[in-house]
Amino acid sequence: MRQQGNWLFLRMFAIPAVTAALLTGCATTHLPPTAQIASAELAVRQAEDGHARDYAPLELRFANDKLQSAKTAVQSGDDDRYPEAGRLADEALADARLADAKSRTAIAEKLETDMQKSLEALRREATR
Amino acid sequence: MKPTNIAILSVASLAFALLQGCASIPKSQAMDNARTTYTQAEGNADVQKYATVDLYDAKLALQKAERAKNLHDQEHLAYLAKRQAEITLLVAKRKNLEASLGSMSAQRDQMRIELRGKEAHSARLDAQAANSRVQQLEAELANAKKTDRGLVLTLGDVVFETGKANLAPGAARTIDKLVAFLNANPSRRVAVEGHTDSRGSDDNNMDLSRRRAEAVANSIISGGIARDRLTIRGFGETTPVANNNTAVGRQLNRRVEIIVLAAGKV
Repeated sequence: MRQQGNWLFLRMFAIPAVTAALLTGCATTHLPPTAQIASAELAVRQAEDGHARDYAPLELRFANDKLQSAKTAVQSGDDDRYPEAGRLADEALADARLADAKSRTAIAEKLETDMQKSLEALRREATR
Repeated sequence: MKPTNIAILSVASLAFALLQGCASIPKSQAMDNARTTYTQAEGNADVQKYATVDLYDAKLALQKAERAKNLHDQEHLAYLAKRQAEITLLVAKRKNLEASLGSMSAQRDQMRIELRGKEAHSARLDAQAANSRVQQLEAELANAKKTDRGLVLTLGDVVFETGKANLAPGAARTIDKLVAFLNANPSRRVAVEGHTDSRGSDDNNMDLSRRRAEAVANSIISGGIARDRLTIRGFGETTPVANNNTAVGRQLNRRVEIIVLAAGKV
């Protein structure tokens, strides 16, 4: 009888409590990653303004695709998909920043090449 | 087994399984990639010089990925860390390029200034060369006379047929040299003046001397010299240089004088 009581206690309180505690740790109700998507969108636009279409088309494509997937996941209204949407938005942000960094470096390289040429031309002129 | 024991065991194993999920996860390829790129960035001299803040962000991102609770999260966080490390390398490269662009642009400005000085110097050399060309012209044209007005070249009547204004081919060499000189000295002007002997009527002689001067002037112009640099006059028989009573004197009087006016004279 006493053992029966223990079992009852476990079944009524302990198991649900432990399970609930563990579950809340993993599955809270999710909010849509609005801010993350906005950041990613801004970064993509900045990369595009910085000529990423010319100098980092693949990275820009990654960013745009992930941003689009994130938006689609949020629009579905299924809050189970929100964490994935947040991750996609963060990755889109990282891809867009990389695209921007790549473009700016490529432009600096081009400027440097042009500058080299103009210096060489001046040197030739000087030794004429 | 007693139900109690089963229950205790099952709770324990469930808890263990969940904790296991949080504590240790298998090594992922994404994590290795992130670490490799981070190490590359950390060892890059330009990064240490120009992108320490970006490198620090990459380090934080890497640590966050290492603390990931599950493989799925870790792959995501490792991806972000790898990107940050790549960005760090690019930022460092760009800043290094920008630094060398700055010094190159200073170098370019300096070279331009020096070159301008050199051009001024070579302009002086050009002027000296032009001066020596004048002397050369004087030397080459044996019958050139230096006068107050400038250098006088006399084309004798042999270059014209009697009574006509057509220039004979023999004058071409003299004209070519003159044209070359005028091209090299764009500020110098030329007077072309025709003269005759005293035979024939005054009007005819005036007209003939004028037409001969024009023929010479035209050949100078066709060499590329602007007409407004030339003054063309016919003096007829009014300005002899020799006695018209002898054949030799008359021949000397039939002439076209090309006067390369001294600098500043018009």
